Amino acid sequence: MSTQHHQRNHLSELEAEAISIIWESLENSKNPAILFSGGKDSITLAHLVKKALYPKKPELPLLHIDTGHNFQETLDFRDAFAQEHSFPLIIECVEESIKRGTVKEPTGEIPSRNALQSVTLLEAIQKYELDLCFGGARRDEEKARSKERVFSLRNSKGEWAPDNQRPEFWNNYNVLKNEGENFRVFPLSNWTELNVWKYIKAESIQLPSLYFSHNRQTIKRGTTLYSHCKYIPLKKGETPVQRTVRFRTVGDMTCTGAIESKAREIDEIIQEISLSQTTERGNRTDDQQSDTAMEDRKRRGYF
Amino acid sequence: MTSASTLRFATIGSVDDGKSTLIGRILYDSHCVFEDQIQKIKSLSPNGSLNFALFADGLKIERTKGMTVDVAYRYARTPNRSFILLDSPGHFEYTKNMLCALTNADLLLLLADVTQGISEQTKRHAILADLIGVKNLILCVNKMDLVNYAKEPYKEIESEFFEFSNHLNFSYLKAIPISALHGENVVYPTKKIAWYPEEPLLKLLENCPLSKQEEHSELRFTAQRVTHKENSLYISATIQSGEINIQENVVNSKTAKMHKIKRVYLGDSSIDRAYYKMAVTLEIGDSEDVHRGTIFYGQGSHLFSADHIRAKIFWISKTPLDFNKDYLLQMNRTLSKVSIKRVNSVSSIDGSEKNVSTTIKENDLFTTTLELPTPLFFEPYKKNKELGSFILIDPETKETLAAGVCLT
Repeated sequence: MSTQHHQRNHLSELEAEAISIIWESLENSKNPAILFSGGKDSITLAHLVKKALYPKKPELPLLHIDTGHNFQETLDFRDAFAQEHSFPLIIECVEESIKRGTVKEPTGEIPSRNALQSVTLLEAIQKYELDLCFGGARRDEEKARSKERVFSLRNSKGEWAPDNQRPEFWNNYNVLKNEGENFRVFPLSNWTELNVWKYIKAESIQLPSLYFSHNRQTIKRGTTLYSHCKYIPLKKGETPVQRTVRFRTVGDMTCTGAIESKAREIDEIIQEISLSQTTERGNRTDDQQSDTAMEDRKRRGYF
Repeated sequence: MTSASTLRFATIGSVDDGKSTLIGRILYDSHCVFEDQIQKIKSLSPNGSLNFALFADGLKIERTKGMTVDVAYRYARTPNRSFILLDSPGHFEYTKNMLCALTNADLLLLLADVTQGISEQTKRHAILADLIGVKNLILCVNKMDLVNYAKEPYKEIESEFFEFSNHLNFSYLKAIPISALHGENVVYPTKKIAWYPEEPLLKLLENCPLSKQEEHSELRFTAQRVTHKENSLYISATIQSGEINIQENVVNSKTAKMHKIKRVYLGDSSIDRAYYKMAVTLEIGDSEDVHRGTIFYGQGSHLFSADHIRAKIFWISKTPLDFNKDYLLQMNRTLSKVSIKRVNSVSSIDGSEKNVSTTIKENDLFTTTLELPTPLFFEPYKKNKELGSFILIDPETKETLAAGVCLT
């Protein structure tokens, strides 16, 4: 069997698994939504949902938790994507949670609103009475995620209990829940970063321009290369430097680091990732707060 | 589509046989972990050395307890095959999580410590894998460094295990001496075990032939989602065995009525044929007889239904079985009421035989007859995994109580 043939088969299997998970979710949910960040994983997920729904058009909304610190490119892409694929779009802002007083505006050298998103997300789940939210998270991203079930049950506070997860036998998912509980469902659980890129290529999926090499004013803090923006105040004596960069993951401007890269085409990106020595989240300062940063945030209701 | 491109394998063994270390070693030596992960793990160790088990043990509780609690899913690839690695707990308390891994594995890497030999638990794990229908097994005789890579202790274990597994149904069965800690014979061949005639473990995993009976048998699919549009009915389903072509007739098991497949869709593209494991949407003439859970089969085939089904069940809940209670049976996209009035034989997963009259509690394995209010279509698990496996759910707490397989 040729290498190419093998890779095509592997992608087809991952696609079939994801689509089947989406069917199981939709058949067992009264009010589902897709958690949409405008990143490649949630875009791929929305693409799969659309495929799964054929011949019907999507009725479930994309839910974007807007921290107010997003890249403009992401927001523009989000709006265009929802319109082109006729997804209803719900936007909930961290800013509103701050005004309500349910979270506090962070301070410090890099005032990231990343952790605040969980609160706004849980408020949105309650407000729209969502019983199931699709997420684009993958198990290969992070070690706590490598342990999470495909159908991840959350209690009424949105909390994840990693040491007492409902077992998943075969593909026979128990999707029953009690009053107030809800599900996070991760159809891309078994995909790797490389699988996602190869699928994006095979399906000609459009992405925000941030993923491709471009020139940008940047500042370097430690080993992280931030985009120069109004949310990160310059330190005394610090001047932004123009660099040729791209982003491997897309989150807030305050926690997403760029990488220096000349990769402008998908093939070049696939080549770059194949040779990469670091994980894609290696540039995410939200994961580097502590060794168990992701598990701690997920316990509290994070994506 | 062939299934041989992806191999899902589970590592199973007793506590401290080195399962997580082996997974870490495979990932590390095949360059499937990244520099920042390596640095992080080095930083967790007092002397900056690499504790390979930490590549898989990702939860706080696991790092505190120093053992695996739940299944970790990790990913590796070589030019010829993609691997999904399921590292599962060895501790008895977390048996249900190990069972999860087994039901999703094509191959079992069963670990044995060369200094301990084949334990009762090793044998029970092999029996469990056989029962769940895992067809491929590699016995990894680990910690060979502790016996200076000597042939004799390995050979003894190998022959004992082969003799024992003679009566089990593995179609691919191998044993291999390794040292996961030192990386000997895992990804790279080693001179230290020159007496071993075969290739290192990763090569075995790459080349192990994987044929699935479902791929070659008669057509079966079950409606997961049903949509009416204009004068057509669209059935979304995963092909559970065999294959289907457009213009072919399929039979609705409930009504025995025949339906012609007008079109097969993968997403919005129309294709001519769908194979085992593909998730497709099938267009037929409009019908009121098709619902989620309706099973279809090919013309000339047949399917049986019954309201009494003999089954083997693993009880995983901390709440014991109640013979007077109605439970929910979830089998092949269908929920149905079920009760269990008596059990025929019981053993604990830890191997001890039990008196049939005693209660059924966590980690008990028993045979029984499921009593259903209306007949259900099914197939014996040995013939078709998807049409012959189920879970039991508590209707009040919604907890998954047990996993089971239909017998003939």
